[in-house]
Amino acid sequence: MSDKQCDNLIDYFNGQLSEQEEAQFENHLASCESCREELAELRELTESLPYLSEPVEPDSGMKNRVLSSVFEEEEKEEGYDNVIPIEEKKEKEKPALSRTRKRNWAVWGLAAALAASLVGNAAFLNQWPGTSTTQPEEEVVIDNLRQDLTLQNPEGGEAKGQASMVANDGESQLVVQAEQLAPLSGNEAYQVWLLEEGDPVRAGTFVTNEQGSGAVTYPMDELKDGNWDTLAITKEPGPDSETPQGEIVLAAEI
Amino acid sequence: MSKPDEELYRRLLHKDKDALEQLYDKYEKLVFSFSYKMTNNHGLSEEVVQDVFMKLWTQKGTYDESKGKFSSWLLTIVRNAAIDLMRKKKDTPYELDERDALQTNEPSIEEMYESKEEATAVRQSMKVLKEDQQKVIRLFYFDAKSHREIAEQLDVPLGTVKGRIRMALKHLQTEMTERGRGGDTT
Ligand SMILES: [Zn+2]
Repeated sequence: MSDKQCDNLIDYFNGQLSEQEEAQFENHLASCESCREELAELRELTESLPYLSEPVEPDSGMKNRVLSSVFEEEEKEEGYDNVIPIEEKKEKEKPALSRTRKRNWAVWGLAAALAASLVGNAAFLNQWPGTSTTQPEEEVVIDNLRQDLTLQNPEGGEAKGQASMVANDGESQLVVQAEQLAPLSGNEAYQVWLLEEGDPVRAGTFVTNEQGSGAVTYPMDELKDGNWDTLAITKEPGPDSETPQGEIVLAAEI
Repeated sequence: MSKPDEELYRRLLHKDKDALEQLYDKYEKLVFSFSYKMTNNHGLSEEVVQDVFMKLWTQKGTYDESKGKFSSWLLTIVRNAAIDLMRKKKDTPYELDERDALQTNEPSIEEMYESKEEATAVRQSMKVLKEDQQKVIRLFYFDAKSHREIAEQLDVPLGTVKGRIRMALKHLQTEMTERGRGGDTT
């Protein structure tokens, strides 16, 4: 009781001690029963206090921002660079999307750049950290984003996905995300293809997380202006297939 | 309707994203509002929420079922995260007064939280306390002031601070127990 350390209890509880003082106090706790009891009592007596907080509305889209960055952190730790986790549920207030189909992907990028505020939604961009490196204070960049294709399995099934075009500073990127895909084993990977009259060109590779979700961004500059008619995703034996070897798991007409 | 927290927490240990999302949905409002009560700032509050769910997901904190309710453990993490952030941001200019920020309407307050009875009981009990006891609780718990600051603000000797805090909290608990919700109910 006479120990000077006992006087630090309040400051300890309120995080007011320096790291060193805190360590010292924790040492003290180990040997001082009365401090342990007082601390336990404080915790018990304060248990209901958070309910005194007046309910406050978070800024809209917080859930999406928080969960995206939490899951993103996870993927980083696992060391997948170009695999971005997809949230199971999209935000409820999804912006009204333009359902207009463009003839080909070359004009798509341009149209997207012009289609200001079609999908002007920062939260949406946040789901693809790979595309948000320009982390705009300038909201303009966010506006140059367009969600367009819904991917499905031609044979039916749970798997689904979306393909979008993002234009950042004149650079167009194809963003593909998919979920509920079958698990991969060994070296297997999912491969995105753009097809023109049956001729495939590679447009990104990704692997899925435990939930069967995955995503990839691919610079459109590397794709010559083709008259793409189909986007398809196949499951490949390895990440390097030059032509599709596996079955199409998701596809959409462009 | 929703799974017990403890089960959701166990699923978290297996990296179940759905479990985290369920916990998020259940506690978003409370965690955010509590953070706001402490930081008085929207931006900081969102950072707290982010911190807390990051900790949950990456297992930086470990919940032990034998030590009490999941919600109490979670709220302790929230409070500590808020304290950490407030200290870090202390020196940077930050708009720290948003008293008239968006607050939802009074009648539905308890409806916003899962533990409605607990919320009601603690609110009603707090109103019974005299102004100076309410102030002690606010300075100590929500403002997380230092021992010395509390003494200064209350204008009392350092040596009496601990006793006053304890008295105020005990009084609050007695009131709550009379309303059928003691602090240690499950
Ligand atoms: Zn002691």
